[in-house]
Amino acid sequence: MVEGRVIENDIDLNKIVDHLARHAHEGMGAIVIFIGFVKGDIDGKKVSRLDYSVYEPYTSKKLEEIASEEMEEGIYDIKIFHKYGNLDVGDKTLYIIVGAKGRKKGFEKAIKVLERVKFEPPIFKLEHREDGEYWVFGDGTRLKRESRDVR
Amino acid sequence: MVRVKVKYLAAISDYTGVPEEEIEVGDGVTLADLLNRIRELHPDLAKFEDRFSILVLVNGVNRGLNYKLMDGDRVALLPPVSGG
Repeated sequence: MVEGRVIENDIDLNKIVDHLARHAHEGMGAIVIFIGFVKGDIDGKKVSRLDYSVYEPYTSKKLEEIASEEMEEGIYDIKIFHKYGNLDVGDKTLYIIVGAKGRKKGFEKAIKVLERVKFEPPIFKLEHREDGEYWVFGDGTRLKRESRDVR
Repeated sequence: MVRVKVKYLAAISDYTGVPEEEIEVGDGVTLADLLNRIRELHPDLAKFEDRFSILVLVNGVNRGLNYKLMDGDRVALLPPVSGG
């Protein structure tokens, strides 16, 4: 079942994959999974935390819309789960799970879904790092919070 | 009179100083009029708008600046997004 929503806690990936494989469409031969997580270094600066805020119910609606719109021949399921809240380095931020006919189609679709997730749903990211707090925008532009200067 | 709830999301709230507020406007006022009123209330917002675009939603939908506000509308000002 196509799914897209924000989540506060990690998902049980094994459970989802098992369910997906056991109830797979007969033509499905691959499950591609993308997991994003908080990295500890940006441009040589140590990151301590990322705060994700969302605008519900519209963020989940947009995630679900992306998953639905990306369904096509050879793609049998798409699930998108995006975390929100205060996340530490190493915490998972995003899960994209694609059930596809084969690996090529699955990987290509996961990449396309990821690009849409970066730029479309109302998700906002505040980066806490050793040189201050930065708002991060989809194209990678950063706005330092204290001085309001663009880096 | 028309009362609308305005939400300032993420970076934008740094420039308004409040995360949300209720604003009363006259009958027949458009979204463009409301934005001008918001800019008067929060002049620092110009510093953000000079560099970044703001998306304005009414009840979660992008209705355009000519939309005539209705009592109880929920308006949200969003900075550029950053998923992933």
